[in-house]
Amino acid sequence: MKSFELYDATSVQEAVALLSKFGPTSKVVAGGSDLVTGIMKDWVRGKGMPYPEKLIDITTIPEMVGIKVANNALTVGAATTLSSIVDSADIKKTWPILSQSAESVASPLIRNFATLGGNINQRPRCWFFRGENFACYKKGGDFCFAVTGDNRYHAIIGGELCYIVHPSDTATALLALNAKATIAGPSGQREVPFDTYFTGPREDVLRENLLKHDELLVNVTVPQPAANTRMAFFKLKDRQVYDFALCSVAAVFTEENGVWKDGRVVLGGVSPVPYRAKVVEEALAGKNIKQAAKDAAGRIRTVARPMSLNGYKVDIAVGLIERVLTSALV
Amino acid sequence: MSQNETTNGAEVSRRDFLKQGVAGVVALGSIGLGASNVLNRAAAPELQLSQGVVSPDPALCIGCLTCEVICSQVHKDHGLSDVPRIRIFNDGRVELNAELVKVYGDRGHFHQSPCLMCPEAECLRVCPANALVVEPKTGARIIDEKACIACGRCSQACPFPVQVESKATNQTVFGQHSRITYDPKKNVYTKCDLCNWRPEGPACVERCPVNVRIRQGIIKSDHLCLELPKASREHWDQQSVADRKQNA
Ligand SMILES: Cc1cc2nc3c(=O)[nH]c(=O)nc-3n(C[C@H](O)[C@H](O)[C@H](O)COP(=O)(O)OP(=O)(O)OC[C@H]3O[C@@H](n4cnc5c(N)ncnc54)[C@H](O)[C@@H]3O)c2cc1C
Ligand code: SF4
Repeated sequence: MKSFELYDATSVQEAVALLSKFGPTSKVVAGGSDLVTGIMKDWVRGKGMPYPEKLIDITTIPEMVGIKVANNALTVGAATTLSSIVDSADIKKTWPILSQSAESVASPLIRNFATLGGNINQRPRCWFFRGENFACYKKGGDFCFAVTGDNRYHAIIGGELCYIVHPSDTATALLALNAKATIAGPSGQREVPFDTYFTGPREDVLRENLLKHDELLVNVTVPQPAANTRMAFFKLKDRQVYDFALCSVAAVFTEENGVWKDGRVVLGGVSPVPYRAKVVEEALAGKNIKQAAKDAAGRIRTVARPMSLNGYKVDIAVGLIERVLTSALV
Repeated sequence: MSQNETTNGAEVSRRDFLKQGVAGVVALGSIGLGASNVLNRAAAPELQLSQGVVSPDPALCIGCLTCEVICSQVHKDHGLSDVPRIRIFNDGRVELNAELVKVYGDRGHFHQSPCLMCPEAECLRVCPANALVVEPKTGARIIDEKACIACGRCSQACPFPVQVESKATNQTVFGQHSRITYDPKKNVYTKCDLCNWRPEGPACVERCPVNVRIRQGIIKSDHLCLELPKASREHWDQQSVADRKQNA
């Protein structure tokens, strides 16, 4: 790994100013579990992805660390560790799927320094992207090796040009919880719903979200769930110890006498962005959830477009959606 | 902005004038070649044939959408509309190439919808603003976005419809009816221009991963998924029959 300069930012404005001043070879670093011990250690770089030379540490910014519940909403600073989220009694009680999704990430040791912002903004795990010798689209190259290569863990929905799956477990839960992101940039701060936070390869294959180089995620706000809200999260992995999601499902919905009123079903590990399964939600509208769950889950097949080696993930998604919907009712 | 709305500025006034003007013969007579071609079709001069035409084999298409997205990207990078000029549609009727299935398995059935670079190019003849021109180097029928008044006549005149967009592989809807598509962001119509400024030629043909693997000999095929033959009347006859069948 190449050496780098480390800057301890003390305020959001300072971090943004440093990013603006240094340009694309500077990067925000939080826990560093992906950026330093992944991307930089493994020399993941290319024409569209310069090797970072200056890291701006944001864990030293007090306003970016911590969990607050106020005005019927939860706000989590982007530099808050995943362990703090798992340990929060407030989150466990009112937003349990955020707690469960954070707990499903990596190992306890990693969660002790890995942050929410890092989890949401981590780079994809595609093995070609992570491999030094593959100049693929995501690094500014001119080929996707997954299309004709080993794509068993790649996208089954919405892949185009690049077939990554979004790796973040907390993002799946946050999208289902209708959360918002506060973003800071040179022109100040703005709030963006997670519905529009993540972007696919058609928009820009070199990134996975709308953050520009000199912007950062400051915090995440999650609204208080409405009365009669049910929620559940499940993540399927290839192995029992820590691993990324083969497929995860987060469902958050309101119901009356078992009938679906409103809600979200979100899938992780299947698409370049955390994927909101609107076809499933539509099939549940006004229906008895228990009775409709199987059929509604099957609707995901209508939007799935598996690759040569990952058709099995479609079956997994169907099974998990049904399981999560019914388990939320228990 | 919808295509009928207007914004301020001199250019738009000119667009509006032309858009409204084409409805009347008086205006047609006053705006030059494109218009005189509409009025006097029999005397239309022969067009230079295109040097190339994107010619697909649906049996080799794996629906990866690389062609669509790379088309958008290279045009955007060149300052042009980023609406894809080639689209991929799900098509259960397509029989897959056996060699492809061997190396790639059965991953769905698709057909591609490119521009056929018609020898007669109706689109070019009906444009009242002379925005549709033959690019001299490649012979491609192209739209000059700066001259396009977004009247939509070219799109209506295009003889090659596309499938209903709900069958589009990416489920992205552009409101497309033919091989010429409206781009609401730029308020222009757009079509395949064979990436005529790229030394590598059309990006879709260059980047199609099946093409790449065929060229490398990894997928055995005597032809590409997206070929680029020289346009000829005979080729157009063949390609248009196959294309119409797919979109029937
Ligand atoms: C062994 C191992 C297993 C893992 N397993 C999982 C798993 O199961 N599930 C999962 O979801 N993840 C997993 N991860 C991925 C990831 O490292 C962690 O999820 C972690 O949360 C990343 O946080 P961090 O603070 O260390 O991020 P960093 O490495 O510091 O940053 C990651 C990226 O996000 C950017 N970034 C960080 N904070 C911000 C911010 N506030 N605003 C804008 N950009 C920011 C950085 O620039 C960088 O590009 C795993 C990682 C490892 C090493
Ligand atoms: S899936 Fe994306 S990241 Fe992986 S090889 Fe293809 S272009 Fe690169």
